[in-house]
Amino acid sequence: MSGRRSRSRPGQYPSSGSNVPAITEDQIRDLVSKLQQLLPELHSRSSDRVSAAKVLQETCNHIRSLQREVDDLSERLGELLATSDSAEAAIIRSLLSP
Amino acid sequence: MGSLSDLNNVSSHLKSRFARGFLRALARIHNLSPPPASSSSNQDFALRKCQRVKLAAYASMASAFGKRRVWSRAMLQRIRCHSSSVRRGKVRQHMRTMRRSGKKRKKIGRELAAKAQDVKKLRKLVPGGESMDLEGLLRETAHYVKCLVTQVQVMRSIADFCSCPP
Repeated sequence: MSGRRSRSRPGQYPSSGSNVPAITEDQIRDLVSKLQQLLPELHSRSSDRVSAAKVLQETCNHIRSLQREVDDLSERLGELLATSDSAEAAIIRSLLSP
Repeated sequence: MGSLSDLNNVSSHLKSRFARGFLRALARIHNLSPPPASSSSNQDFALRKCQRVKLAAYASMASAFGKRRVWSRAMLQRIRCHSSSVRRGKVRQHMRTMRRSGKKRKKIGRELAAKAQDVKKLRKLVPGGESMDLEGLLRETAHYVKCLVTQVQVMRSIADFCSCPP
């Protein structure tokens, strides 16, 4: 347990806008296209035809479905740990062979 | 900065780092002995085991990056709050700090105003997303998605491995 008590200040408080340079539309478009590349369905289509809004929507859906998969897999792993003794052996084996 | 291009190289290294931490946590969970007696407590135990596995997965993934990423920092904080939130007060306090920072968000440009709704949804999904500016949010999202995909892949291969041992 770390003794750190830092209540971390979340991000930056943009109190005065002068320190932080305004982000350009191009930069945003660039970042959005990188997000698009990560998405399974929109990967093939060119960035011109897909609006940024759509990319954001699909990203949200993608994240939600991934989280759902984590839930399902956790359930499955929970059951496997409970029922099979070979699970522990499998785990140890996986640990030993990187 | 090239942080996004590094992601491709990080992938296999990340997998092994995540897998080790996660497998250790799984071994620990596996060794938890079930409580005696009634069936309802067995159900609870199974549910809690599943929750533990899920938390272990997210914790292992976030620990692989520690404080270097906003989302991993936020996630570790969230998990710590979650495990110690026997008293609701703590969690509410945590939520209050997060909400307060959300109000001081920068104004988005005109073209992006149309997507404000989607950005808002994204902020809620990505840990730590409430307090980031748009550029940071998009970068963190990309990294977070990559890590989630890796996490799912590793969890699936462990589950497959355990369900049909050689």
